Amino acid sequence: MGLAIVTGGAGAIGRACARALVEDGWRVALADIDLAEAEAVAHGIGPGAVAAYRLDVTEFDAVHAVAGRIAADHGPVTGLVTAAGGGRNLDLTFGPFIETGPEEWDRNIEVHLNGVYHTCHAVLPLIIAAGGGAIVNTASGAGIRGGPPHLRQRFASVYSACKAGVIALTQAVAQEAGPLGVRANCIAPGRTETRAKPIEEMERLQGEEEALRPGSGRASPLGRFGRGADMGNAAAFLMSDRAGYITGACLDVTGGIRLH
Amino acid sequence: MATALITGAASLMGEGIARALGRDGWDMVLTDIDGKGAEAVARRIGAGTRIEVAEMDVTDHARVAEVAKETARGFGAIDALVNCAGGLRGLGISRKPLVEISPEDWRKVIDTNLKGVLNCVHCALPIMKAQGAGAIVSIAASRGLRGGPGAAHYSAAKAGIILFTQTMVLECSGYGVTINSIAPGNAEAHWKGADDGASVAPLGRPTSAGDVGAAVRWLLSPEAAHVTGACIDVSGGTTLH
Repeated sequence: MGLAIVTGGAGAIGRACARALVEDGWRVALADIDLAEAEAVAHGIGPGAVAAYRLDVTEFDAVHAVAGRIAADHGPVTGLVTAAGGGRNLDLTFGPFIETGPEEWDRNIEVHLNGVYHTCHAVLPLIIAAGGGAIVNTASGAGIRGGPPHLRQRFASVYSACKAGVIALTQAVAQEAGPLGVRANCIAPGRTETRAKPIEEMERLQGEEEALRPGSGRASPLGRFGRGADMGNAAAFLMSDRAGYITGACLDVTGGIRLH
Repeated sequence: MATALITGAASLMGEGIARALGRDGWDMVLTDIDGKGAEAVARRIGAGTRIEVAEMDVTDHARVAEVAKETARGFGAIDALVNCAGGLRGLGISRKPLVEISPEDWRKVIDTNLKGVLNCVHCALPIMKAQGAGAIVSIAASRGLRGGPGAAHYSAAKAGIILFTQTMVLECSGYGVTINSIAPGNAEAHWKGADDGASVAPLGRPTSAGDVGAAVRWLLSPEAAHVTGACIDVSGGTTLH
């Protein structure tokens, strides 16, 4: 165990990852574009959440600066979970591809793909300097196979591309940094609650969706939507020594929705 | 005759694709950021079909839109789009571990390989939709099927192309358009030495421009009319290495 940075730490997945890591004995620094909320999450988790930082993952220099500050403030960094993303503040229409344009693609790519590059670029050297550790990047079921039914309804073409990119980037890092004692894996959430849409809200909308487009409202073969905690558990496992021989993997945490 | 718009046509692979399509009688618009290089390809292959050349940078959405429109006007249709522009070392970027990749190099690789495909599909697809028919083939890479060391940016961009392709198939159901990708590995290129990478290919040689051309030709033929959303691995087994 050691100190882990969790980006998107104020989001539903990020906060659940932070909580699960702290339960496993990690010290966690939360980083999020919404500092106030990240501070509230850190307070809620308790002493294991050592601090919260404002972080916009689209800014290369700022990501480096924050990563350096966390190491200076709290000591060697041995873990990273990237969970920044989602539609908040991005103004993504998720409209049909031919009706969208380059500006919207850029916002999508900056956060969901380039943001992971920026974060790994800044934090991986810290983990190497600390003697090794683990990275978990948040990909998506949409990055494993294009257009799972729930996302097909939302026209996730560029999002799928970004998340596939995250998986491939992680495979590259796994090979490059494996000899230096760093493992790198992905989790692939499916239809998961977010801060803006908690699971109760998803369940409430399920009936409406189903009535509009039969089949589209299905949560997963497990009969429910993904909870933040499901993602936190998966990430904490991949970060732990129990996953000590697992690297370059992408763990499907979609409740089987890709099998539809 | 049917018309194909090809990007990256001045590259060895682009030339291989143009040669293969010429054999099937395709009219072609050969585009490349290197307009003179594309003209040289057009002269060399002289396929006996109508070939025009346009200088085009795939990262310039406005220029791509212009070329797509001119092609549809001049030839009456865009029946096929072949996205071949891209690469890593061909862009003058050397392989490096992720922690040593500069933001400038990262951006250039993502912009050329991934956003270039987005731009071209965005401009050609509405024309195909209006026609009620068309075919798109994008050149991905074995690195996109499995990320490789020293090429995190290139792997990410090519994996993005493969998944973008799959998702667009579902999005464009009813358009009459097939959308596929091809994954070469250790492909021949003008700037490469003869034995570059051949040692890791189970078939013992690099992917030739002709191998890629043959796959594109098949995907654009009536024989592949029911093939869509596929990524054909034409790496000689390199992906498994």
